[in-house]
Formats: sequence, C-alpha cells, structure tokens
Amino acid sequence: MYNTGKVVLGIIVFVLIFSSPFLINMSGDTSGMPEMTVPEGECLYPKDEMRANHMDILNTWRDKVVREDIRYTEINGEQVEMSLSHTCMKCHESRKEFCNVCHAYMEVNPYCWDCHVDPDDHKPTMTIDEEAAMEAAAKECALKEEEKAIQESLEINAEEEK
Amino acid sequence: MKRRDFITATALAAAFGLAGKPVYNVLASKDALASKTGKRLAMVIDLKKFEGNSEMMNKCVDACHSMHNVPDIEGAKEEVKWIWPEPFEHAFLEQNNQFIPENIQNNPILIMCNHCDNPPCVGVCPPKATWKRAEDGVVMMDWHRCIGCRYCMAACPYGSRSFNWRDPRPKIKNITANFPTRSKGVVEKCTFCDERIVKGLEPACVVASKMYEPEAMVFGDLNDDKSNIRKILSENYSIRRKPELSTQPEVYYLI
Repeated sequence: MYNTGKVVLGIIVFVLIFSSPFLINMSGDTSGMPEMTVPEGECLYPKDEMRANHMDILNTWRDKVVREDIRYTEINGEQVEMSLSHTCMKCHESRKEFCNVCHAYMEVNPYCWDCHVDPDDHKPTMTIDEEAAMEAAAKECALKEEEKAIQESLEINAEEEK
Repeated sequence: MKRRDFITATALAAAFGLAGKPVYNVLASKDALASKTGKRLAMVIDLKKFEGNSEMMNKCVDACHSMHNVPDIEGAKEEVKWIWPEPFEHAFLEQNNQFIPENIQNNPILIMCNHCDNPPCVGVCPPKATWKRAEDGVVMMDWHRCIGCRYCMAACPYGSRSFNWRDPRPKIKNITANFPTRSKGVVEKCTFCDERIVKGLEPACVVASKMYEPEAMVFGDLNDDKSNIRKILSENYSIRRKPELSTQPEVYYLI
C-alpha cells in the first residue's frame, strides 16, 4: 500500500472527529442539563418511565378519548381522567417551568399548545361545579314552566266551574 | 367449449369482477344498519318557539361558541361557526314555496351539523379525521388528525363545516380553558357537545334554550321509543333539511 502512514493518520483523524460528540459526552459533564421545578408527591408513573414515554402515554390517551370516547383509565387502582390539561397540568402547573424547559434543551417542538390552552395564559373559566349549576338553573326554569302550565290549567278549571 | 361461449363467459366474469363489489356495497349498505344499533342521538328544533325570540336564538349561539372557543371572524369566506341562524329560503331552499305564511318566511332558522345517518363528509376524509360514532351516531372530528384538505366541506350539503384560514386564537374573545381551540389549517364543526354528553349533560345550545323555553330544542335518543324526542316526533309533523339527498339528517324542525 502506498502512503500507509498518511492513510492511517487520515483514518484516525476521521474517526476522532466523527466520534467527538460521544467522547465529549463520555467525560460525564452534564452541566448543560436543564433544572426543572418538579411538584411534590407521586406522579402517575415512575419518573424514569414518564421521562422516556410521556409522549406515547399522551398519544394513547388522545386516541382513547377522542376516537373511542373512553375518558378514564385506572392507574394504581385509581380512576384517572386521561387529560393533559385536567390531569397532568393539575400538578405540573406551568408549561413554561416544566414542559418548555426540557423541550428547549432537547430541541423538540410538540404542537400540543397550538390548540390546548396553556395554563400559564388562561385559568379554567368554568369548573365542572359551575357547569352543574348552570344545568340546575335550566332544570329549575323548566320546572317553573311546568308549574305555570299546571296553574293555568287549574285556573281554567276554576273558571269552568264558575 | 365453443369460441362464442368462451368469450361470453370471459366477458361476464370481467363484468362481475368490476361491478360486483360496488353493487354488493350498495345492496348491503352498512350505514343503514349502523343507526339501528346503540343510540341514535338527534335534535328537534321547534321553530314556533323561536318566533320573535331572537334573544333566545342568540343565547344558543353564544353558549355554543363561547364554550367551544369558536373565533369571531367577519366575512363569509373566513368565518367560523358551529351553530347559526339562517333565513328560511337558505335553510329550506326546496320548501320555499310561494305564498307561505309570513311568520315562517321571515323567521330565521337555527342550523348546525345534522349528524347525518349517512354522512357524506365521512367517506371523503383521507385520514379518517371525521367519522360516525357507532355507539351514538355523533359525527365526530379528530382535530389532531385533520390535514385541512377541505374535502368534507365540499361533501357536506349543509355548509356545516368551517375552515380555519388563519390562527383562530387572536379572534377568540374569551378563551375557555377547559376546551381546546383549533389551529390554522383545521376544519371544525358542531360535535353535538360530545364532551358534555359523555358526562350525561345536554348540548350547550339546548341548555341555553331551556333558560327561555322548556321544549324549544329537544335532544334525545331516537332508538329509545320511550324518549321525549320520539314522543314529540310522533305527535308533530317535522321537516328536515334536504332529505332528498338521503343523508338522513338527525336535526328535525317543527314548523
């Protein structure tokens, strides 16, 4: 082989450049890792599983809720609503301080919040209780109508009796 | 086998191969069967009770649009709507006879997605982002999956669907946090308040109308022969929008 020295040197330089990111990472310096504020208490799944699979869990939830109309699932013997806004963000209150920190570090741009409402911007305006109250008001109105009809028929009866 | 017989047999086999499946599909229509199992949710709108009560009509529209983060965009091309009033001659074009009573002619009609039994929008959707739910007949949408091709808008004979030509967020007056908005390039429409019926609640427009009139809008299951909606339909003559297209719309109007 001609120019053996140069060729071998070239191969070594190429391999070093090619593997440089891995070599740098092997040094164990993780100072660039983001720090997130994690709420106290237990998450639905262990931390490592959530870290690795939260996107798959959310996708499964999405398909179950939207396409199969199944809203609840059982995790550790508890009924959990499969909802990003109602379940996850109940503990992880801020998108800016939780989701975005890691997503920015990993350079991923999920489009969840293009449609789902960012809890940093808007707090829920109508709780389930308020909805129920609205419902009760409507029912009361219907009852009143019924009463009115009954009263009217009574009045008509009274007039006829006269 | 004679040459003539062979050619005839080949031609018949080819014809059956080409036309057999479509003909079988038409004869054994699955859509017609789908409505007989499970629930068949429908709505009755009593037009008499809406006469001269534009306040009630506006309340129904507002209740729906504010609850579902529907943007308020002006102009026929870009507007987004789930439920809205339309003049009689638009809503019931083929029924707009001469000399019909003035109160019917001049009264706007509340229209929305008809949740057809045989929905033309469903068949044309390439990613199956819209489909008819077998369990209750709601024509659902998966906004995650919509690619914005607008085939469904072309297919819908009722104009029930709207397209988001731009990001709707800035045009929503008050964002309701527990319901998502849509993004640019997505089609949207009424879903019979699927998020409410799963909790056993009635659609928002029905609840809003009940604040004024108890039975201006009635929502129920047509497959339940004891339901109020069946009682009303059997006691009153009802009309539907464009029934001649055999889409089997599930919103009935009492005139």
